[in-house]
Amino acid sequence: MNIQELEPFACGYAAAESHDLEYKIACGFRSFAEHIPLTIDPSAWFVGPVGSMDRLAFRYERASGIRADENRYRAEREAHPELRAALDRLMDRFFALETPRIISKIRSPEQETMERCKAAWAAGGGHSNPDYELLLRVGTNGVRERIELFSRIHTDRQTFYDSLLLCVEALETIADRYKALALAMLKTAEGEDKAILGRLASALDNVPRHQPRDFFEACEMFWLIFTFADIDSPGLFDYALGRYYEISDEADRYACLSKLWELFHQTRTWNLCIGGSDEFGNDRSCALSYDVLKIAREKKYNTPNITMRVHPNTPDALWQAAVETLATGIGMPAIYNDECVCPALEALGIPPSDSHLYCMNGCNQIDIFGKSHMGLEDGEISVAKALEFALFNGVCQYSGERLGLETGDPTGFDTFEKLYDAFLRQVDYLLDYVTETSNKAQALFAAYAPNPWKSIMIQGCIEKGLDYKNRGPIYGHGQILTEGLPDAVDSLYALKTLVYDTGKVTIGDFIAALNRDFEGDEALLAEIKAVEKYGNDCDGPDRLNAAVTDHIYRYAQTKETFRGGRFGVGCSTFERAANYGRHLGALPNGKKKFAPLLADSIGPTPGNDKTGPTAALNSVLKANQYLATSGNVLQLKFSKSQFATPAGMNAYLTLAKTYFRLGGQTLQINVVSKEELLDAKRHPERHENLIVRVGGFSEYFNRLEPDLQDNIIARTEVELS
Amino acid sequence: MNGTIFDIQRFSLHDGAGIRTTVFFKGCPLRCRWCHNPESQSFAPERMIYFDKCVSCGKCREICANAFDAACAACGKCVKVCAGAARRIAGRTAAVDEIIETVVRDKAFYETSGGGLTLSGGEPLAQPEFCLALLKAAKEANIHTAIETCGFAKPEIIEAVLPFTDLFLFDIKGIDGETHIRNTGVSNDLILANAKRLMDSKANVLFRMPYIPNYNDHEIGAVRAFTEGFPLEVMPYHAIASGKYKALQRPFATAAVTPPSQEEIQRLAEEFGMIYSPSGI
Repeated sequence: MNIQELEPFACGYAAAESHDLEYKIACGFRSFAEHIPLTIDPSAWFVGPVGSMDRLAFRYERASGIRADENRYRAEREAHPELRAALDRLMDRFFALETPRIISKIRSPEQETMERCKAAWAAGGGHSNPDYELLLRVGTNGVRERIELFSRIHTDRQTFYDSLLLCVEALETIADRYKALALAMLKTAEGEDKAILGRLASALDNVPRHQPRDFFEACEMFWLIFTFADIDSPGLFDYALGRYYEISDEADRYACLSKLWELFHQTRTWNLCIGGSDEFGNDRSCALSYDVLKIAREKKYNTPNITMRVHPNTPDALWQAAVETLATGIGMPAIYNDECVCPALEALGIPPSDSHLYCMNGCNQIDIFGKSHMGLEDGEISVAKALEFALFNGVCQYSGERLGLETGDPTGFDTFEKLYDAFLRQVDYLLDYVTETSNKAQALFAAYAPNPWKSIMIQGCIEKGLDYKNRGPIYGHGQILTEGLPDAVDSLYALKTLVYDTGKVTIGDFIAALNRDFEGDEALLAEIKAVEKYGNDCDGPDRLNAAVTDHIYRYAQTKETFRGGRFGVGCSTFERAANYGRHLGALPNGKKKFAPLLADSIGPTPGNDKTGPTAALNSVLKANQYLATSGNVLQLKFSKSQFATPAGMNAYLTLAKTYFRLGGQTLQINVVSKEELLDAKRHPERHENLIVRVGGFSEYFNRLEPDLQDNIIARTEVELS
Repeated sequence: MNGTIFDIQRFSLHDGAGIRTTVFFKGCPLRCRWCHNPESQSFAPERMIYFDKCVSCGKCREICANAFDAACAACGKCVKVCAGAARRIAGRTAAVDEIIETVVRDKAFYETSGGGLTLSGGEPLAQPEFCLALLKAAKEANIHTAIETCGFAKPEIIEAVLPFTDLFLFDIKGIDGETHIRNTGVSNDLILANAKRLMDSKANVLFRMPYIPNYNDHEIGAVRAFTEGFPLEVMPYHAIASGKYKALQRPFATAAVTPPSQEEIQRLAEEFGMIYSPSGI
């Protein structure tokens, strides 16, 4: 073992000391490709340097840039005494260069407080959907031509283009090394291994320089690209790989897909999207779309996260396959409505040809396949915290500090409009904060963590001569998520009803009750309970929800991102809502001090939706879904018994189709029995395979926090009559 | 026009085709010993107490001397003070307009699924004017209508609702008159005559037979013969209603009956050419 094999990225990076940052990173990638130890497991069929970068002490990470992993470094020092001096020299250089360290130095104290009190947080990174469709189609030869062409146009950006060329070379190098290794292993291999090694060597003779000739080659090239620097979202999988699937032998292509699925499962592969239409309404699904659902049913893995796009021309058979897949209880696919998402994206200025290339980056955040850097981790605001600020003149009830605006003594709000206005000002204040902070973070990432590899994989960067992080991608919109919106709406509506409409309580008495955490306020709690709640098709709370949603979504869209777009909003609370609640005082919806929030994305709060799923869907639909350019998730949970019969399945299919026809954006459906969940909580060992859908992803039930397990158990389970 | 109902259930999947809204009428002329909606029998509102939820806070006693007695006027005051949310009042007056306003909200779901409005109960035909007004209003709104009925109504009432009812879900609980009186408290002469009338009228009818071991199970062949030429669905006995009887402080006559197995019902359904969907009554 020499230092180049042990820490190839750092060695390459350090050797290019005097160059620009992006060039040094590219040198790191090339050195990584040249020296990282490679192995081939013929039983996996496809090869790629899975996780090799992650295992280095000095590495490049998609999310955080250049990292020096101190634990790893110490472990390497112990394991390789002969390389200590070399490792120490690398540490000296990398420690100072570490992107998170640089960025953390620039963080303000305000940022720390806002995050600690769970009012809002902001960042500037995220997932992306690399454009392997184009790379497969033109090969690295074609990409090199593109780079050279544009380097002749942007003559002042030579280092940038040189960096990109180094990355292309790196990919080819690693492919060539795999080919040589396969040929070497072939000499002693026998049986099936021999056949696979032969196929692999032959495939690597063609890819990645040229377009794949069949699905096996396409999978190999895909996996090589996908694992080269980091694992991310496969995006429009059937759109990108469907053509190779069509021309390959049926049994062989399914075997390839099966092997690829095993690889997905072993890595944290994010979001894989199927279906959808083009801008003319033509359905894009193909044999691969159906087989993705088939293999998901067979394997029942929790990764990748599968999304299915639907539109009016989605074939019934694909719908049927999706419902059958949901019936297995894996919580996938999540279903997105083209007719809602595409207009929302078009309103941001994205033309229909590109809006119809949307897919998910990571969990639920909407991205344009291979053409965008639309954030994901841009920021999040607690709408419930904004209400707390309005009720306590800007003072956070978790920390006792004034973090919000001074909107005045709440006892002076003699009309609901005054209270509502104070609330919206607090919301705006949080949105101002989060967008400004995110933009600072985006700029820091651009300055300290350029990603030349991703600049090849996302369209716009080569053409503009700009890095992926530095306004290179065609689309650079942002995404802000809301937390606790339904809780805030129910709280506002309780105040409106009890204080301002019926006069049963004064605002002062209500706030006093919040201050004593409803101690001895059973009568008030009973009144609160009796107030109509969002999610039951009651116009009062539903329209209030619509108005607040509308305000937040429109206000955020007036803000520009550093990346050259605008901030969109979505609501997908994941497992975080509970934690946001623990940093809030008592709320007017009856939530106790520091108790978890109830909100489940845009759906009604669990336990308060008493009128069934049609009513819940109607409530949700009163808010304008066409403004949500990030995922606006609605989760429904049904018991297994309901899905058991064809008639039952058909009812749910109809429910989903109607929701989309009426303009709904996203549905996530869990099929699981309540007894099963309760039993899983008591006897986790008996339910190792139980997967539930949590916000943005499917997760093993046993791995969830107890709070969240309770929340899932309580969540909308529609019982039979 | 007002009537008494005890529930409106949206996203109802088992009272006719598609996604439906079911309105449960309060009051029934029959007293079936296995009745799974005991709160539907009386025409007046009733108090229900779910004793397992009672936290013994004593607030109900403070405000009402009859908090646990049969002499309850169902005023509902105890429901509001109950700390354990253990009490509710089954039954309320509702206007046709109010109900239809709720029903039309799910019209898009009915259209996509082939569903609509179902009147159930209790016995919808026991509040004939209210029932007819609801049916007419639904038809005006272009919504599919179904009635779940025991068939115990004057023939002229059946004639009146016929033009506004797209589907009758008609219960036949037995053919033998003596057994019927013993099981339900009324003679089945009127019921069977009304059934015949509907069969002759070419109305869209789905007959349903509750299948209660030891009570009417021996009549399955007779019921099939009587409904010849029309679809017949078998509804096996279940004991889910026992909690409601406790809450109403009334005995559940068939509590000791063992629910038949799915396999047994499946076999009977095949033997007699009956429809069976394993969701129960």
